[in-house]
Parts: sequence; C-alpha cells; structure tokens
Amino acid sequence: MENPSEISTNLYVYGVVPAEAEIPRLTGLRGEEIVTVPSEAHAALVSPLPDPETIGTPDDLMAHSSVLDQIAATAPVLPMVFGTVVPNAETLTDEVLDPQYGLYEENLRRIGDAAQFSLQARFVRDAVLAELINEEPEIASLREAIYGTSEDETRNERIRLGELIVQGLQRKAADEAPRIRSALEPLARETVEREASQAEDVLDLAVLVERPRQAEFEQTAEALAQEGAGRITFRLIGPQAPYDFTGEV
Amino acid sequence: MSSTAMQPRGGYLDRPHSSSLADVLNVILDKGLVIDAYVRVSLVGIEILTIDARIVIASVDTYLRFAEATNRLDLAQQGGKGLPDMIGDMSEGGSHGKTKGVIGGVKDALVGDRDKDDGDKEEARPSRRRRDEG
Repeated sequence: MENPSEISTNLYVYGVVPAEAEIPRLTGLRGEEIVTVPSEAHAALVSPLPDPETIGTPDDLMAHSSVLDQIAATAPVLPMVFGTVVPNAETLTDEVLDPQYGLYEENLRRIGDAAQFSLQARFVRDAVLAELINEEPEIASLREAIYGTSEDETRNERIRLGELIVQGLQRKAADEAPRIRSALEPLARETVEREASQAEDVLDLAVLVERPRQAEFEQTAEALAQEGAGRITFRLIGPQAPYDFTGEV
Repeated sequence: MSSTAMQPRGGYLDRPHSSSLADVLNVILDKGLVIDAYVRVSLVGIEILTIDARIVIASVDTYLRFAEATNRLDLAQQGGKGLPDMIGDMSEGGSHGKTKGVIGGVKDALVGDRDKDDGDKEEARPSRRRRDEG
C-alpha cells in the first residue's frame, strides 16, 4: 500500500473500519487500489479519484459495493453512502474521522461481529395467479371476460382484474411473511424490513447476522426455500456491508 | 472465514456469489454514512442516483400487466382448470417484460440525462443534508 498522506488528489471514500482491521488487497472504482487513511481509532477505506465529475456509472456503484462486501465478509465495516468524495487525506482525518469518532464507535458497536444478509422472498407469479383465480370468483369471471379481447376493448375490466390480483398478492404476502420472519429472527442480531419493490414480493428483509451463526442462517434460508419451492422463491445475498444498519442512531 | 465457502448448496435457495446491479440498487442505493456537505467534493452527476428506480406497485401499468398475465396463464399447467383454446404461450409472459422494464428503469436512472437533472439537483440535495452527520 502506498502512503495515503502522499495522495493529494480527491479520494473516493468507501467506508470506515476499526484502525486495527486488516484490509486485503482490493481494487475499487476505476481499477484503483484501496488504501486506508487512519485516525486514532478508525481508518477510512479510500482510493484516488482524479476525475470526480464523471462518477455515477453502474460500474462505479458495483465497485463501491464490491469493495465493501468483500471486507464485510471478514471484518466489520461501516459503509459510506455511494458517491462520497473528499479533497484529500488531511480533510478526511481532520474533518470526518476525528469529529465523528463517537458516531463511528456507536455504529461499530451496533454491528459487532456481524454482517448483513439480504433475503428476498417472492411469489412465483403464475402459481399464485392460479390460486387467486381458483379462490376468488370475481377474478375468475374477469379473467374470462377479458379472454380473447384486446387491451383497448376491455381496459376497465383489466384494470379491475389487475387491482384485485395485486390486493390478493398483498394479502397472501401478509399471510406468509410472519412465518418467514419468525424462522429467521432468532438467528439475527437485528432485522429491517424493506418496502416491497414488486407486487410479487412476499418479504424483503435485511438481516444482521453474527459470524458464528451465518452457516445456520443460510441453512434456515435454504430450508425455507425448499418448503416454498414452486410457490415462493428465496434469494439470499451476502455477507454484505451493513447498509441497512448504519447511520445516525 | 467465509461462510459462503463452507455452505453446501441445497439448490432451492437462489444464492448468487455476487450481487447484480439490480440487487445493488435495491439494497444499497442511498444507504450508509453521510459526511458534511462542506467537506465533500460536490459531484454534478451523482444526484441522479437518488431517483427512485423502483416500479410503482399500485399503478394502472402494473394492473394491466397482471391482467394480461392471467390471460396467458395455462391453468392446466398450474394444476387448475384451463380456459378453452388456451394457448400456453408462457415464454412471452409478463415476468419477462417486467424484468426488462426494471433493468431499463435502473439504467435510465444511472446514466440519466445530466442536463435535465440540473433542475432537480436542489430538490434532491436537502434529503441528503438532513442525514448529514454533526
């Protein structure tokens, strides 16, 4: 690693780790190597960013998360919001790391020896549509009413049908989500439920899991996926940096 | 220690080794520690990322998409009763188009028009400032 005090260029800041954390060799935005800027208790993970005006591409965002997630696999790390750039290392130490000592300590205590996992449970659309058609006579009759017609011909019926389906999906999600949560919560340090992003979403959960429990957590997710096979799909991402468990408390 | 390395893959759980762009947008966009605006190098293009790339669930477009999905659904394949003359054309089902739509929306938000964004910048900044530390 080069000496960060020699870097006079703008620095892209990924996150904050405890000063004693061992950081593996990693490349970040624009293929630049990650270096640390230390303060007494913490260190910021940075890479030089000579041209900050051009930042904001999908590649930049992927590089940001990739660096943080690779570190989170082995050590606690507090993520900075994407797009944090400071003019130089001195500013970072004097204006950020030192004055925010208390906030970063508090956040690191909150994270402890845990990493984040993201679990998305989502209905298999056609399986649940078939359930709704069989369960709800109005859905079945509207479906028959639009069959073989164009969207223009039966626009109102289609809107009503879609609305009933979305309501049905939300009702079914409300039935399923508590069971999933209660299976995972005993293994979690904390959970945050994210807002649904699609009508098929059953549950989108950010889970903070301590390292010794991560294998059991994954096994539980696998068991849930097996149980839901054909009806609910489960996608598990992680270990990740604790994006949903970092910030002002 | 890598928990993913020692974990046997059972096959039911979708367990990607790394996040996709859609995962990253869903999970991390706009999350994390924020530093004071006067310390930060201000970036012209970055605020485009605060655009909410999510699709709106309670929208006419969503309703029409689901209606069309029932139209194409072959209930016989799903263990129920099918409509007569139903053609099981599942490959063009709504989920295909929807995925494209979401990724398309995400891409638009990421590469978004910087000129157009200038007007939104002042509106977008205060939400960050509120979360600034100190």
